[in-house]
Amino acid sequence: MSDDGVRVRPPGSMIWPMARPTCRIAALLFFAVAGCVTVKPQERQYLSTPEMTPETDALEDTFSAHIDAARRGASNGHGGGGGGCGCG
Amino acid sequence: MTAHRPHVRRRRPGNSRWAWPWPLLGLACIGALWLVTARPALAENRATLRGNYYRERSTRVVQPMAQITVDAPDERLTLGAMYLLDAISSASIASGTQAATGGDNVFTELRHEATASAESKLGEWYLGGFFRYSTETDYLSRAGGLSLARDLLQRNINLSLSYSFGGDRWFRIQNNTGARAPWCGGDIGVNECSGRGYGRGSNFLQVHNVAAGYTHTLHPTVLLQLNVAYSHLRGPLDNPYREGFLGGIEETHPHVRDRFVITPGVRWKIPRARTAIEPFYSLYVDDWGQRGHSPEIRVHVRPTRHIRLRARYGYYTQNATFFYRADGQYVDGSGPCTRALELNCATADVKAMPWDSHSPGVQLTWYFDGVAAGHRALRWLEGGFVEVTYNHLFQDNRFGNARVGSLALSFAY
Repeated sequence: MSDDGVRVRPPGSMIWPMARPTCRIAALLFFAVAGCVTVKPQERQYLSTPEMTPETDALEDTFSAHIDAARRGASNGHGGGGGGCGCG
Repeated sequence: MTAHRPHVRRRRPGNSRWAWPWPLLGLACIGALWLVTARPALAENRATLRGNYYRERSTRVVQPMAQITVDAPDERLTLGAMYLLDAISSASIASGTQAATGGDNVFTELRHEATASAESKLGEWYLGGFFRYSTETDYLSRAGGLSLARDLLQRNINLSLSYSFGGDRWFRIQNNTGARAPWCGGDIGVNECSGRGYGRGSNFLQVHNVAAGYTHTLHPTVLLQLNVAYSHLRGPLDNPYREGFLGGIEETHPHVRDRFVITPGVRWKIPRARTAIEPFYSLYVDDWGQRGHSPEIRVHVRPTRHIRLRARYGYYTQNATFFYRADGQYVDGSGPCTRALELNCATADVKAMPWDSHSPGVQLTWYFDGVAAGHRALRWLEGGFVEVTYNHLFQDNRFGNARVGSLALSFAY
């Protein structure tokens, strides 16, 4: 707290996105929309197609993540420190 | 009064009984029982060859890779292996490092990466693990991780959690002498830097990564996804070759970084239009004061049953880290780079600067199932596909625009 009673973020600390009211509302909306709809196994024909399956892009994403990690500062890489002087 | 002798079982010398690793044996028994009792499923082995290409004004990356997965005997245990080669040719690295490398030559490096993985689908549970080894002339990395996922509500919800640890060793090549010296960061002298141990004064970069995923089937045609990831990096995070860009000052970044990414997204299939729409968005924040936004949309179209076309557009923007100076007027600091000691920091890294990019792209995938069904001699192609991808990056940074392409060929066997 500062002298004015205003919360001051300590230098170097990361802003936790969920700390913002708008983000909390967005998170609530997300789970509200998710609801409890049950899709039966026989109704999953469209969900089993490659374009609806996240695993389809796994290898492409690995390469993209490696390129991004070497160029973008705001990229989380692919769980490693990078390489080729991507340097984190 | 006799002294109390503690009742300790002693093994006689020479009586070398093999100590049973009971906990491991118990786990193995439980695992075997699980494999036997879990419902068997279909098996699919797969081999994929992929060639990736990246080209910008001063750098070219050619990356062939091969991946093979084997179900042993089915999806209850899937073993995988992948190998890739990164051939990186760069002119920029030499132009910035004449003092270090001894010349302004095209700089070509090879990076080898091998990954072994194991996955298991046991009822509603998914277990996975991997180990990755990667090396090039000035870099050595080992990483491993575990993942756990669970289907809920008749597979309408999937929750996942994963952890990985990476340990990298960084070196600096002196091309004029051919020597390889450990690199501990710009604020640590060569003589004070060790190629062993960890912590400050060591060339060891440790990366802890925790990720969680939530996937929800909202409707027979709508899938909702939310992924969050947190990374903690500790060790040298600056580049050993950028002193040329900084007037002889070594690039110096903080040694610790905490990164957080949240990615919500949707996949929506429109059967009548043979189309699927896939918008998603990534928000990135870290303790270096950097923020990133990357919205992207992908549209998949099926003009025929066995052909899939994909168009995508992605936007990316990032702001500067707290220690980046637009005027480039850095001083040669004498200590670690921190928020409190910002003058010790120096960077010529594009990753620390503010810039944005636009990236449109197209992809064509041809599934061989139609051909395999029509010709008996080509039945072995069933489940296979060929995929061609091209993306163009319009980048607002010193790298300039870039072209990214790939060609993939995959077979089920």
